Amino acid sequence: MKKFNWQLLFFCSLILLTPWFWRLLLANQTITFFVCLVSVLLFYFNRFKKGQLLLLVCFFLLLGMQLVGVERRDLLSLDNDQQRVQQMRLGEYPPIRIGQVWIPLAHWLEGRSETILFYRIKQNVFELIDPNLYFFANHPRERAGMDEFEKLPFFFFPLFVFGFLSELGKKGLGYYFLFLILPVLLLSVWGNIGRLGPFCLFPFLMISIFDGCWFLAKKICSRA
Amino acid sequence: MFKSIKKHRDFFFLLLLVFGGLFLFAYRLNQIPPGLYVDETTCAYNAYSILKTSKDEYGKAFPVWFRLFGSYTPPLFIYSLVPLIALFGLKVWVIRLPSVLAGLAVIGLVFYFLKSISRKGSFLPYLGSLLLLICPWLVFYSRLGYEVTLAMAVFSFGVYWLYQGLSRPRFLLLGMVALSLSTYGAYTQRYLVPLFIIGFVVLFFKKIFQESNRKHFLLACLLALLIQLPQLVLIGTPAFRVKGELLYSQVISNYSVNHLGWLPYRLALIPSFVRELFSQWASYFSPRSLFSLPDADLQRSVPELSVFYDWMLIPYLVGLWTLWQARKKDWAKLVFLWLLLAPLPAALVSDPFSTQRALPIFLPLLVVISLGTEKLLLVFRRRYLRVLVFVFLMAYSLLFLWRSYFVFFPKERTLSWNWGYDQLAKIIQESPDRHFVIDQSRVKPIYIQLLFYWQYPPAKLHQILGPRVADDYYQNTEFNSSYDLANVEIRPIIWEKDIYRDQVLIGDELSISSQQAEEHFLEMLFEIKDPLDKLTFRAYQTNPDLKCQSGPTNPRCQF
Repeated sequence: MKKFNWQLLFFCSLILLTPWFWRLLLANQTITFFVCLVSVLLFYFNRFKKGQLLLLVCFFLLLGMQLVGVERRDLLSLDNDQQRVQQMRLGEYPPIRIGQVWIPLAHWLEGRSETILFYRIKQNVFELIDPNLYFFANHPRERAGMDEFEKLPFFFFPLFVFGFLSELGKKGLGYYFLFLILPVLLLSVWGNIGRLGPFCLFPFLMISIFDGCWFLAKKICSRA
Repeated sequence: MFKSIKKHRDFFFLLLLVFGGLFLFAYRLNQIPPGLYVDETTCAYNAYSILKTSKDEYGKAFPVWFRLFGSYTPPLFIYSLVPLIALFGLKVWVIRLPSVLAGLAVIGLVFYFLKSISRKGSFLPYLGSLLLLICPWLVFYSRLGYEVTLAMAVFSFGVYWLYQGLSRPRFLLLGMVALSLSTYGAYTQRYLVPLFIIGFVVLFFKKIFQESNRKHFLLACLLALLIQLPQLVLIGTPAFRVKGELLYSQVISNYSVNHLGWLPYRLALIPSFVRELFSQWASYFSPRSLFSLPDADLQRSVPELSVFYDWMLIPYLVGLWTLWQARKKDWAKLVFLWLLLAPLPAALVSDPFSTQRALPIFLPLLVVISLGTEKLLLVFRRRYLRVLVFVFLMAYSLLFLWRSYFVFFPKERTLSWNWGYDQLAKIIQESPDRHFVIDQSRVKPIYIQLLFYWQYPPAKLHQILGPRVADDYYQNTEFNSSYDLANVEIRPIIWEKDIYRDQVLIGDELSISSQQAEEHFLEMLFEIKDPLDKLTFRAYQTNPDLKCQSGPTNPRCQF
């Protein structure tokens, strides 16, 4: 328990080191409270495999706050320039025929709502899972017209990578990925642009960073 | 017959890959990419000049680095073009042929590398080489006519042979020679190879310096150094430092001021530099860069397609984890080393995610994706299901490759690939009595395109240029793209003078406005437009008589 207390203290100090935490605190204390609560509960669950009900309830509340806090994006409408490009591309395809049957491939790949939806969701997914978004304010591939801000210190990035890789090999990963995959999918469909960023991913990121620190600490101690 | 095929399965499979590769890399090679990019024409014309006169375009005999536009490009690709041009002539597909062959060679390399790391009976080598064959990154770079793909291939062979040398000492020689040669391939390898060799030696120190390998390795190092002598002689010249302005000094300075203002400026530069380097380096592993966004440079990308296919995200993550699990094995250490070091030269440059500069990372990433794909396919216990899923993924990938590379790319990227210059060269050549002025303020150097399409005699060019550049070849790095060739002047339009001379003014959409044309009595002669009706060039005939009638007191009208 004493070991856990020290780990918890270290974990909390990692949270305090993140610019994201302070931005959330200045903007909305309720969200900050839930972000920290879910992070600590996930940390506790990761160690003792207990408290999942409370964790899930708080996490879904946090998800709800996230969905309220982001800009709802229409996944199907095209602005003027996008319509121009669509028309241009519909004309670029060669006519495709199998025997006497014409295949409307251009329409399937450029014009159908399902394909437009697929491309948009795909774009959103990749924006959300980009580590540069979290550690480097999306630098060097900032999105035009967006307020990009650094969420986590850049020197946490290797810790995150070590933590992520070391966690992948363990059993019982369902909950771990629940805190990654579910928010990503939801935000990809709902919208991923918000003043405070995708803070529902904060617990996942912090746990991975902590695991990375733990992994390195164990390596160093075993060599010493 | 089937027994024979099964026995020689690898041979027939590689044959299949070669045919598949030839189709993907050589189909309509003259037309796609659209036009001929300036880097391609400059390599081709310099190779042509070497063939005809043993000198480059500036009159320098067998240069170690080719001056070109002041870039001092490593020479391997250009020299490799010389025999091809001698055999087949100065044609578009000939210029792109070395990259096609390099792409095919790399597929074979990956096949044998994956074979060496997988267990007997595994389908990993077949899967990996098929994935490589259809990869957008490889298809794109195997179809262009400048140095990067050849350099990447030579570097990759060097790495593979060096790795093989751990168990077969003679390969250490081959590996080091290939790595040393690859520094003559492209800029990236010049910085990457020393880093890689140091990393390799550190990682495999015990094996390299064990008794059976030691002698071979030291001999290999000596050979590699001998190969480097021509470059080492030039290391102190300005030609070695020409790419220095690409380093992101302004970005670092801005970050230091804006975000680390609480530190003394000079002290703040260090974490700013580390952050910038880290962010650039990390972007080469970012799923968004690898599977979603194309290269930001329009010339180096195809519309709506990234360097790998979107579905490869999951195999990429699984492959990283597989590689991590195997991290104590030699091959995994090699792949990690390759992965970590390959993006470093590109990360030192301000271009965001340059697929060209980071081309060496392509193969280890593909290895990771192959490992992940194999792991995921093994979830299906029945072989026919694995085949079905794989065939579906291949079909999906080829559909989007066709859509982006063969449908959109030839039409949408014409301006980026200097489309229309052949037509311009032909028009000028057919009008020897007319005088032309070409404004190239917003485009890459035009002179080399004209020289290429005209197959302009290099000896004649040397006479025009004189010995000024050749005598001071590696010191004089300044490049002036204004040229005076035959009946063509390539320079900005001088409005005070040019409208009073009987000539043709050529430029892009912004060179001459309709108001200017009306004001100066310019008559539109011709337009060159791309397949989507976008203007490449517009030419106007001047009318000095009419102009002078409107303003007879102008001193230029006295003549």
